[in-house]
Amino acid sequence: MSASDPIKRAWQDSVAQADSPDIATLRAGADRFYHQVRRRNLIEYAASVLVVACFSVIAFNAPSPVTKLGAVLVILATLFAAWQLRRRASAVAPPAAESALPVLLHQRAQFVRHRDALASVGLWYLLPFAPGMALMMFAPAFEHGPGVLLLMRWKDIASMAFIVAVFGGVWWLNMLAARKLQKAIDEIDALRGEDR
Amino acid sequence: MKGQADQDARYLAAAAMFGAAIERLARGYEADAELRRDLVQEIHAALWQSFAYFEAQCSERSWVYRIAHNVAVTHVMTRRRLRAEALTGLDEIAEMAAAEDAEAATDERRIVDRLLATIHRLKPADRQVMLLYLEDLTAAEIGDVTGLSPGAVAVRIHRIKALLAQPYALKGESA
Repeated sequence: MSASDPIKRAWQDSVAQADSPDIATLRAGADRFYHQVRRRNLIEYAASVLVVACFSVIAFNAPSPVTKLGAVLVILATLFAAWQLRRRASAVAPPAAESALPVLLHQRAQFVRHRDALASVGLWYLLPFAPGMALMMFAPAFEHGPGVLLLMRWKDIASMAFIVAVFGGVWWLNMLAARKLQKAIDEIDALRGEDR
Repeated sequence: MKGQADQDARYLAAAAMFGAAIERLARGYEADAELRRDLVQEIHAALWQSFAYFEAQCSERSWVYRIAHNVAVTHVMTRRRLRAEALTGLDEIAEMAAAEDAEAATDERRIVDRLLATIHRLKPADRQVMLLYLEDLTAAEIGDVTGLSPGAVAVRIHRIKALLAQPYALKGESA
């Protein structure tokens, strides 16, 4: 008998029996994850509808054709992002068989999926908005020449800087999170190769 | 329908056999009683689902522990409870947590409390090995569940044995 046997016994005796939930409860709870994802997507779609509505008003009412074009491009970008969200949401749930992988492989697969999703946010969620936003911000320069940029009021410059900062900030935070996940992936790879 | 009935029957048999082990595992991952109930429920749901595609890819015991640990790790990640800086490896732990007096260390409940305090401090991979070791899985089975290499499992088990021997060494000294 090894010294740790009594401790194992104490551990195993600490919960000697347990009730299992009934099957009906499990069946109902199994869809919870999908309901959560669906709810989150609905919020995103509602936000998309709001953005499309606001920029539609701008597209119809703006006096400048460049601003109108910019608003249309933002609407298209919103629709593209909503479509991407729908396409990618179907891949959010891990493949069923993945949950039976050895723990480290399962963790690694989760980290890789999250890392890739975060790293690609700039491409499908931010970049599509850039042309429309740039057109709208620089509409006066497109219409009257770059010289008007020198006459911009500080409020306009501040609001432009704010928009750029928000876009840049979202991208930077996502990249930061992706780098952290990469570090975790590297740690798992090191663990799995410890004695190789 | 037959498939569904088969899935239900296999789940019920596994739940009866491993229900208590799942509860213990959940204690090792979640200290909050309310959240622990949720975690146990999540594990059972995943286990029931998994029997739709279990075809003896590994032993049933390894299968159950894989599912349970995977759900628990995801639960912890989702709740962002694991702060890498707050956790330590087995190689950094000199003694079991919450060490009190030698008399107390012989009391089963206190031993379990100390075990849990130690387990909650461990990094995920070390925590998994410790929990599986306490459930009496062999080194090969632990490797099968965790995906750790045999050498990595052996090193961790060696450290765990040294750690767990301490309360009894203390008792011997005080006797």
